[in-house]
Amino acid sequence: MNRIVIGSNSNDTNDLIKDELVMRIDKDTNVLIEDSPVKKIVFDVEDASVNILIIRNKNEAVMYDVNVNKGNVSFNNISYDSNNVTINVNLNQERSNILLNNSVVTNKEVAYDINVNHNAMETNSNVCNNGVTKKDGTIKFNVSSYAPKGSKDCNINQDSKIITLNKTNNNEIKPILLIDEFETEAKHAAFIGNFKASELFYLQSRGLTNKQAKNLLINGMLIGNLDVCFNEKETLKKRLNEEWR
Amino acid sequence: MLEIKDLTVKVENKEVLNKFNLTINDGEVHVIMGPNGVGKSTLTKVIMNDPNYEVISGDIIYNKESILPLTTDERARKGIFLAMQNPLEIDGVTNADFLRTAVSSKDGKNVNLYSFIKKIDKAKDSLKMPDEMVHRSINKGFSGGEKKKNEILQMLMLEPSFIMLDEIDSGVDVDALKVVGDNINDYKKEHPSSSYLIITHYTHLLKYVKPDFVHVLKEGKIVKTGSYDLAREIENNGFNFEKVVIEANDGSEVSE
Repeated sequence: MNRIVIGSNSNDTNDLIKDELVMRIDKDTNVLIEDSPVKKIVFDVEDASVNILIIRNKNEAVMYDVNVNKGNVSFNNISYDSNNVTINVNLNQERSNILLNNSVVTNKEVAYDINVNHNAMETNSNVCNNGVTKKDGTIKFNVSSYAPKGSKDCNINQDSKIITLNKTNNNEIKPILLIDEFETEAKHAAFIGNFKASELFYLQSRGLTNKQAKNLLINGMLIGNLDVCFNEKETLKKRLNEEWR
Repeated sequence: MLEIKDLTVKVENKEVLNKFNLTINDGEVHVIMGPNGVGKSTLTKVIMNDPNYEVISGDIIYNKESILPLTTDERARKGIFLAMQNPLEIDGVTNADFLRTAVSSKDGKNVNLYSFIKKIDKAKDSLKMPDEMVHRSINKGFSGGEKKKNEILQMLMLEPSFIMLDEIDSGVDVDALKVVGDNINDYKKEHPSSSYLIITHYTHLLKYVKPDFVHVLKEGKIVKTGSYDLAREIENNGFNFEKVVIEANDGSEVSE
């Protein structure tokens, strides 16, 4: 398994790469990108399994292009108070799959535009957006999945959830499914609101205080659902606890 | 000891418990049976302070203290535990994280990781649960029986003193039911002063966990109290109450 690390505790790479970074990956690889100032990152995946973890803290707007030419990509993004993000996914060949986990905590307005193009048959996409808004935070998740005629036997899923911890916000989820092929399956779910009373009751009935229960639910929603290893999750949980309060 | 005095409860403007009275002494096992919709689960939810239920009058006293002013978590930390009929699935939160936080909260200090792992391993083995279930999201993708075992796992970890088991036997196969029953009995032996309120429709669990009292609940009130024999009568004859009264007259106590 190859490993690529960009930005994490390394100012050298941040100084060298500013505008656009293109990664051509044809072997199974883990990629970690942390607080990178690069404005556009392109991942060209050729018949490989790739796990990407992007950690963003108060970063500028960024665009990611993920082009999959056969293979499995697990794209995990966690953002604290960062600017707008655009993610374009192209599933170009049969058996190209993407799992996209996007976790956002913000106290300002931020938009996530995610476009998934199923350019070949037998391609799968699963987009899971989880957001928490606090103070003046507003999140807009705009997710478009496109399956043109001929893209048979695709599975398309969108799940978006925003928990509002602030009173004033204009949170929005726009799940758009543009399906031009009968023999493909597409679905979506969207939720904006507070924690479910039944979940809080269940956790509190085991002795957790209201605050502990909410912390656990936020950790679970933003970190627990990421497709990263146990140690990485523990590190992210510690960081989340520092950042979101 | 738990005492429920003249408790009247409403949900969505409908009265579900009406001047309900029940006393459960330390070490006792009480069973409540009754047709669907008579308020059996309501009773357990009210004791646990489910916000959907409104107490109109009466009191619930636990160890000589009214628990009505207490929040759900405060009641849980007093040692009250509810194994739910339909345990919730919570995505992203692992059993291990949840239980570590719960045990720390109950003990009032951070739990020692080594002792926690030792304890949860013992409980998991005793319930014949696979290793990975501890690290999976709470009840996510669990079968009906696994969810019920997970409730008992939480009970073993939190070591409560008053335990409510709401239809813990539903959706559980015979082998799993024996495991659940054996674990409750073992816990009872280790904690002789622990008391139990079991809600059930059948005698399946009661073959393993012998009750001291069986109550029949109808229209928000206990209409009859007896022994294990009453549960068997009900299983044979259903809740055709008049028939039960006639056939139970030989041994069981009949209350108005």
